[in-house]
Amino acid sequence: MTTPQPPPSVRPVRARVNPILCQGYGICAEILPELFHRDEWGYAQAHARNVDPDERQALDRAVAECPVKAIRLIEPSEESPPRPEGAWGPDTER
Amino acid sequence: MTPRGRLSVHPLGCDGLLAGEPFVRQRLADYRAVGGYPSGHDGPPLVEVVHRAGLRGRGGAAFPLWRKLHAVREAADAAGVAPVVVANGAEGEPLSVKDRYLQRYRPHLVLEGTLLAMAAVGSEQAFVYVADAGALESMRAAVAEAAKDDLVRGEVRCVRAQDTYVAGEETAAVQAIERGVARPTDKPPRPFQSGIGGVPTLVSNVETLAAAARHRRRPDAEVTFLCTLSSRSTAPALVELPVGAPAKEVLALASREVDEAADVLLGGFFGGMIPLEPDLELEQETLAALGASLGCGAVRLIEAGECPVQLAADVAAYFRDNNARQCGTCIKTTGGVAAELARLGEPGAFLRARPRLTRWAETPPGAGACALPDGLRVLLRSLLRHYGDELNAHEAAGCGACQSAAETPRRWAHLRVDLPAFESAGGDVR
Repeated sequence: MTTPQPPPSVRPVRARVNPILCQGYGICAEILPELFHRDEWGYAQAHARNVDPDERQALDRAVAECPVKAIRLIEPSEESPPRPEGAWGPDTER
Repeated sequence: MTPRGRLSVHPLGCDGLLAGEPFVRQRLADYRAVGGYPSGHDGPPLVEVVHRAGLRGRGGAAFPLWRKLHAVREAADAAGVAPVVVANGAEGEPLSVKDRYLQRYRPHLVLEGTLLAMAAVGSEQAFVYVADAGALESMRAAVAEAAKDDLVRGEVRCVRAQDTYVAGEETAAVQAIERGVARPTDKPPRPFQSGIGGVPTLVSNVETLAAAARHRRRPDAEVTFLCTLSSRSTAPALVELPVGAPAKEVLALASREVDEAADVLLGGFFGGMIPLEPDLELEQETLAALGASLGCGAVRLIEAGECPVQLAADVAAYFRDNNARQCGTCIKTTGGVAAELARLGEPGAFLRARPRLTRWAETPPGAGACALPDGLRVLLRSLLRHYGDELNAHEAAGCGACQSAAETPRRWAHLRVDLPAFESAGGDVR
């Protein structure tokens, strides 16, 4: 009997191609063209959206197969300064 | 080649960031005489003061300072460490001099803002990341003066930035302070999460910190910004204006007719190129609606005899020659845009270039480790959006100015504002 696999993570994550590392191999865009797009020289960029749970397995493969290990997953908590709730009165920002 | 004549300075009221005698370094005693470093201050906390004032940073995103202060403090508390503060005085924008001016001539305003930020986030270590030799001398002397009067809690060190366009980018500043080479790193993490030595770090522009010090002293003061105004044929000016001031207040200083729109490069090379209507309010939201931003506040007027297409090509060439040379996509795209724009002086070139220019203009943000490709995108989008008539005229008849600029080495070198030489005046500084 096989060990049951843990369910794929349900936490929303975003993919990020480190543009300093990317050499334009394009393997990520071959594996997951819905998530990775390439510029006219082949350098890859991930769409700025959460990864669909259905894409997660292919994404893991893209991460593993990137020859320069340029792809990583980013959790929402890593993104931007959290907004404190009601800390200093009404929020006047846009 | 720099714009004609010596820089003039235009303070706003007697309590603004530029108050006091122009081009004279404000010493500690002078600064205290006008209320600097108040003792026994028991007003509201700094973060509340800057939140109420609506003080924002001077990057393209105009990030609210209070949120940055809060985020650094939270991240440091969560990690159980003391955060670091970086007063960012590296002023890479060739069209801006305001940060260098503040560091040279109003060093205590910058230092007090730095010390207040340290206290606000619970930091015991700060770096003043200075722009040039004059800034280094003045800021170092200010730290020594303040320390002698027992005003400095913790350690404040001055570190000189490299003279490059990307040196002031927040992760480049962290890299420069840690290892001496100012190159951006990919995000996240941003410095507020992990900066100097892996510790949460507040990287804040020196003008923003100076403004924080001023608002701490006078919470009801009008929120202002510094603008470096320049053009081809008139002397540059450093101006303090209320946030939201109508554009004509700037245009009038350049003895420009104020009843018609003036074409400008905004925010140095980073805020786009737009026709500035005289009644347009100079503030983030209004400008964002036009696809532009105030950024470092620099305004470069495009004169009647100048070609906006040529200036856009100048800026693209600057980005090609002054990017960090790290991200393949940025190296290639800046080179490609610069080459296409440089060809637009030939009749028939625009329609051939348009598909590529449009595609580049629509690239999603975040293509590079730093925002330089995004700055290029803002420039391209604003050129295509606001200067369609000029581009079509180029298509039909070509443009002599564009053609001759294409042959000029360092074609962007005329887009620069300089401060006069810094007279350190020995005894004054020490």
